[in-house]
Amino acid sequence: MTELIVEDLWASSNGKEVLRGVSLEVSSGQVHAVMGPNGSGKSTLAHVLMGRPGYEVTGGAVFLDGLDITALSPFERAQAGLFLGMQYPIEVPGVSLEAMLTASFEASGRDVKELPSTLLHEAISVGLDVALLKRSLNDDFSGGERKRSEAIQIGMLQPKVAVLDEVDSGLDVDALRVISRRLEAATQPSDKSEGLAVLAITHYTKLFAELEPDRVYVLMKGKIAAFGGKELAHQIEAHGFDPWEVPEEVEVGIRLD
Amino acid sequence: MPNPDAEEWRYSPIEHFDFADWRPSLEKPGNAEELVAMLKSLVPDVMGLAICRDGWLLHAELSEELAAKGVKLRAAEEEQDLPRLIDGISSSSINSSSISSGSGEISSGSGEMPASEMPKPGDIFRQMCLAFSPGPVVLSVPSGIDVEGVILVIHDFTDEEGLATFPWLVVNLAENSSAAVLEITGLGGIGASGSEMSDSGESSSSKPSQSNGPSQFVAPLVELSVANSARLRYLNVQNLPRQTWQIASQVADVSSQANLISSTAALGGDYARLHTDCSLSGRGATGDIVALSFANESQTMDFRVFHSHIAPDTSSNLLFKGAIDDEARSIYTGLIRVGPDARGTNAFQTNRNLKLSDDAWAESVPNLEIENNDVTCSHASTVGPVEEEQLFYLQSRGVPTDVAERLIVDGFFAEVLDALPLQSAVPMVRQVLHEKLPYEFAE
Repeated sequence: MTELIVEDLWASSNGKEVLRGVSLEVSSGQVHAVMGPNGSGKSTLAHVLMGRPGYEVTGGAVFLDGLDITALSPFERAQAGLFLGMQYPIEVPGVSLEAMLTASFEASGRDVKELPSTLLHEAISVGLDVALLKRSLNDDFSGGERKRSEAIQIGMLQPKVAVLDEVDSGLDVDALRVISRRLEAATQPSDKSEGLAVLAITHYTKLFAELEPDRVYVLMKGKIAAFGGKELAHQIEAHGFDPWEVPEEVEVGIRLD
Repeated sequence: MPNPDAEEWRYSPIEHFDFADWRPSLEKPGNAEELVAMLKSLVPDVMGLAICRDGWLLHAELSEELAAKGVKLRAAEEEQDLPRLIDGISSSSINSSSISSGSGEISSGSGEMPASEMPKPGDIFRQMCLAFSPGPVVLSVPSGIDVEGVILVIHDFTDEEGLATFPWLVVNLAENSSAAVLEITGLGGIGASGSEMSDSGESSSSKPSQSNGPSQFVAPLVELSVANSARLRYLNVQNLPRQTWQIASQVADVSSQANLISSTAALGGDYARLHTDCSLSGRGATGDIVALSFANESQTMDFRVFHSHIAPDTSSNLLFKGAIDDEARSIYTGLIRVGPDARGTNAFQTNRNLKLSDDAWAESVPNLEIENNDVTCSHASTVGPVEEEQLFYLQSRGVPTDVAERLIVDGFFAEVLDALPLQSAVPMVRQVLHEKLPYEFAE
């Protein structure tokens, strides 16, 4: 059983505190959702979990299978089994999906012999034009193509935990369905794995029509304000995040001129 | 002497150049027969081969089929072979190929030239080539003839210190003909090992350049003349030894409905300059330039491009991509001129520089001079390190940092390699590039 445990995580970006004590966990085969309005710290959470440069962890820790990954490089986190599906997957000119996956396989000592055929199979299963496999990563890809490419990478890299940042943004209904099915299949236990753990970070409930969450966390101003079952997602769909709004903090100070 | 303060020499180390340091090559250096077999297998479909050493043509051959069609590859012999694109040229400058004074010293000579042949500013090195070169190698293709395969022109160099050499190539494509020319300047490391060139080349490419200045000076001159509806693809692989200074000139003229893709892979030399003058003089002419460069240690790459749209409906696309590592420097200045008659011009100019070290330095100055309103022009230029975002993306997929950087750098060059007009030469170019890049590549 794999577990991602986030323990009282504090983080800042550009000197501004964005996460202020986030605690949550997700384990193999489970789909957990983190929902929150704009500016609640959702994307920061996703990036801090993967160790993106530009964010500073100021407190707390992240454990993957008991291993403290808080100070590891993104590459080491990925090799430990963590995946980040990005809201805006980055263009890498001149580097194809196939070349990137080959380098990743080689770094983890996996056999690359079957890679091209497996990759073709994955591309077909999520409906990505196979010509894109050899083109520059995400370069001139549509929003849907980028997300399909991210889903393919989950299928290929077989991470233990996938953090998905706004996976449903920029997707039409068909693409969302295809990607959700692929994710759902990955969460199923097999003889090789106990099933992918998914932490889906999102603003909207669109995804959950296709991929049902086992647990929903509400992130407000960098803190988990509530958590519950999937009914919480329905409540958010109906009423938004207002019930958890806290009044603006007012800074009180004395100016000494 | 060129004026180091002139715009054309800005950022260059030309003030360190002294004519007195150099002497021309006075004798044909041996023969090149031992290289023929190796060179013919360098790229597929070699249909013609010229081998020069220190600027002297030692070997020229052409497939029987091409010879029967009237294609010629040889030292300039007849009036029709003569280059037409350089100012002040005459048949006497071809025939007086030996050094007139015989002193073995190069003087700037400007005082002795008639006023009509006075070099234009910055043209002194071209004039030196006219004066001191043993003469041009000429490829001429008669009208209507398509040259299939590749014409390979090799410039090899002895390793004599203090030598100044003037390789000179003239390509004349008559109307509605076509050809692909691969010119390799400096054989070091290319092809089979064991020959004298690869000895000197490999040792010099792996050693940092000496601080006591260049050991050779080479001023190549290339003329590309593309007549109406002709199509020329040209690639120069500049793979000079590390201690060599190069000041190269390329002059091109593209006539009506003709198409030129001129390209260079600049990898060798200490200070390596390429000055390009391209005129799109006929209606509907297209002249594209593709350049790849990689400089490390104390190398300086210097590209000066002057591209003139003279006739209407002419097109140009300039793509210059280079990486700089260690304390290397790169200079790009590109001036696209659109003349008053050049309505319907399309001109695009891109210069991208990838900085692989904090001490590397690049200057990029793309310019446009437009005298007609009916034109579509764009230019883009960037200088920067490997993007952190791209690195993060690959790392987050489990690619180690050093491998990620290698992939991104290789990817940076992939675009320009794909754009080279002689794709059959790309494996060779990639190999030379990979040997120089600070990464391990599986070939």
